[in-house]
Amino acid sequence: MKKIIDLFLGKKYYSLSSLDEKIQYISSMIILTIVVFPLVFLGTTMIGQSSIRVAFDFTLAGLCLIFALLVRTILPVRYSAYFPITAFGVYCLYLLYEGTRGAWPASWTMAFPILSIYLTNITFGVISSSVVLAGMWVFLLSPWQLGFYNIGGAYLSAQFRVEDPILSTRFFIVYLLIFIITVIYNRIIAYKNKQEKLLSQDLVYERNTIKTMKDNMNLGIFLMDKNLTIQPEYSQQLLTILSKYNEKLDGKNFLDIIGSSLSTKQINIMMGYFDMIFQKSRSLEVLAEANPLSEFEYKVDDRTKYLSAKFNLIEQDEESVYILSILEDITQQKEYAQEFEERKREQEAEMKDLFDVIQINPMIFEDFIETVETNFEDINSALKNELLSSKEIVTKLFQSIHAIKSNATILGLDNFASILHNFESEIKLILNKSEINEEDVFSLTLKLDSIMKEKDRYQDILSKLNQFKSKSDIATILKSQLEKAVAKISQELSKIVNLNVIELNSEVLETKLRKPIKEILLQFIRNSINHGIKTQGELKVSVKQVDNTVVVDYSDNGKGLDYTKLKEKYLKLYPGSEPTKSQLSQLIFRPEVSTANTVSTIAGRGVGLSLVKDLVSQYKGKLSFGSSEKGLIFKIVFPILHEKV
Amino acid sequence: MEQYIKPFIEVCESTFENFCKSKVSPGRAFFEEKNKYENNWDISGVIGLSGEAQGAVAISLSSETALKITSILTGESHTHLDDFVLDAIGEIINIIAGNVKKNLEETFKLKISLPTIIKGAAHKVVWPSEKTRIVCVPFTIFNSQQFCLSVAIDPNK
Repeated sequence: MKKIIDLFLGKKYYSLSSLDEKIQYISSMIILTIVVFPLVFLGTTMIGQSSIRVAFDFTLAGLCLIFALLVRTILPVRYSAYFPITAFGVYCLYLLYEGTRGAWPASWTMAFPILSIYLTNITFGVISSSVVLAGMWVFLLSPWQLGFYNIGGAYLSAQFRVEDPILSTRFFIVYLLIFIITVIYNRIIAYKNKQEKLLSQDLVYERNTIKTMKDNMNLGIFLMDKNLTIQPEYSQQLLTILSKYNEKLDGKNFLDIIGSSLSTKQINIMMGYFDMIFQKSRSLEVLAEANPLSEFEYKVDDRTKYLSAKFNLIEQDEESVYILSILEDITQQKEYAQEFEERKREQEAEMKDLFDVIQINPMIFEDFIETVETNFEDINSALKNELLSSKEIVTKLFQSIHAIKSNATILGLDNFASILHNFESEIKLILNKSEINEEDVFSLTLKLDSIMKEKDRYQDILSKLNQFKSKSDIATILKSQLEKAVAKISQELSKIVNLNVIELNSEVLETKLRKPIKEILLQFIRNSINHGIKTQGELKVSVKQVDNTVVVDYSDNGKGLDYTKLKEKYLKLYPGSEPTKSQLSQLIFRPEVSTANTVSTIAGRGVGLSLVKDLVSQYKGKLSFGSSEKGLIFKIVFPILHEKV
Repeated sequence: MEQYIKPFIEVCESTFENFCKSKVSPGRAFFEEKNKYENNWDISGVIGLSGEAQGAVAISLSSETALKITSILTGESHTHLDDFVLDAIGEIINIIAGNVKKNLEETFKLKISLPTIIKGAAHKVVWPSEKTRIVCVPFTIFNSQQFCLSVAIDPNK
């Protein structure tokens, strides 16, 4: 059957693109073929009666056949009917002209508007039908029948007449009616087609838009029916996400596809979950919350992807209930998150180390680094010493690591200490073995490298910190140190003391004099708050550069030197002598003398001002001081040291 | 660290056994210290390592050892550190680095540089990197002579 249809349609049918053309093609062929039969039949019956009609019939049949064949090959579809229709029109006109002979064959004319408009197009159809209409009026109704008759000459006159005017009128009106109705019908159909075309254009546009969106979103979107079978309209991305590149997924079971990545238990859970969705027994929030596949590992082609799935019930009507599923590849997010976590952990560890280091005095820390290095060198020398046995080496290693660990623990370098602790335990394990071989020594030796790397890291932190510190203002630091000391000491002694810093020259503080100046000022402050100031007072400090010297001025507004007490002490040292005020004053710089009665951490050890004296002489400075009831004044002049720290 | 250094030692042993027909035995490894000159090496062959790990491998020998090794390889006797000796030492370090590269291929991909030969009395091979310490493995060859295989390797993270 299909073969017959194919044979009838011909190759051309399949090359036509628009539906309109296809319909016109088929109908042209059918009509042009079918009309051949009545034409041939009628033509045959006319033989002997009217040679003109015989000729017309056969010519028309021939034309129809020729064009029915031509349209199958080269002729454009819309031109196929022009010739047969034109010929038919002429034939109609002839029949009309011929009048009532026989059984009014002119009634064929009634078919003309329909065929002409349908087979050609509206313009040609209307024109040709109008021509026939005009002919009909001329031949059947016009008052100028005779005129025409005259023009036509004697040849036409013989058969031209109207036998029954009423019948002619009816004939004319019926033709007109058919003509008009055909035109109206044609127009309605044309309008309908136009609207449909617009509608379908909208639909195609909409469909393309949705498809584009669907295929370009990085989501695998698909529908599943009650059997969890994937429906045909899924997004292309689904294939990529599931790594099923050249496969068709429609008709496949969703759980079969991801099943290999899930345990049996998980699959059962999933089936229960889908049941829950279909039964609508839970609210959407609960379902979203309970989704077992909100994040899952999908194993395919030796690699693991992290996918996230969402499911929603879609109900179109009672019959078609689907689960809309959205699958997303979250592998990258997941990896980023893991990387981020790792970074965060690293950073936290680094911060912890930094914090640990900050709390340690840099000098002490440098000592620690040196200790680590010395121990490392000790171990290395031991390794090079071929006379030592494996056991001796490992013992040496244990001792050194233990020493470093103790140091790290004291300094509060928790991370380093724990690394060292682990290493120490490892060494201990080997030490406990009955026999230690060179392999053990080798592997422990190489592990030492990671300890040293850790040391390098701390060293890095320290040097970074030092860079940072030197950038902040050295004078501000000293000022705050002095202020802190004043606050602390005065608070402990319940006194109210105000520190007035007049000047702290930064350039001076950048030299090696910073440390002694700081130390000296701290001693002065201790001394003043402890001995000079009763309950309330003020201290003045200034460090400045005058020509080639550094001048440190210090004063308090306390009670000044207690000469009575000093004299007592002096007499204890040199019994029976009669000291001058100046001799008594010098006494305060002697290490063993303190006028305080009790020893506290702040004062009373008698080292404070003696330390000042030592420092001044160490840095080749000159110290002078004055005492009155209004307070003490110290002035120290150092030669400038250009060498920076 | 251990898994990266070990192949060097094993390959060094087999290289000398296969090419010089001499048995070598590794001693106790230690760390090379930059500022100490304890050994009197006369010639060293160095090859840089790059790729998925950074580092270098070097062999350092006294001229006596180098000459003896070259004599075994060439079949002629050599009296001073001539081009043959330089070539021989370069070849040995090249074989060692090449074989290690092959052995470590599954762990990481290494690229090796052309060998560089350093000649001179009491020289020392150091690397500027602060982080990677050089592990020195002393070897005994010809019963009493010594040479040193220095390795520094730092796998990229």
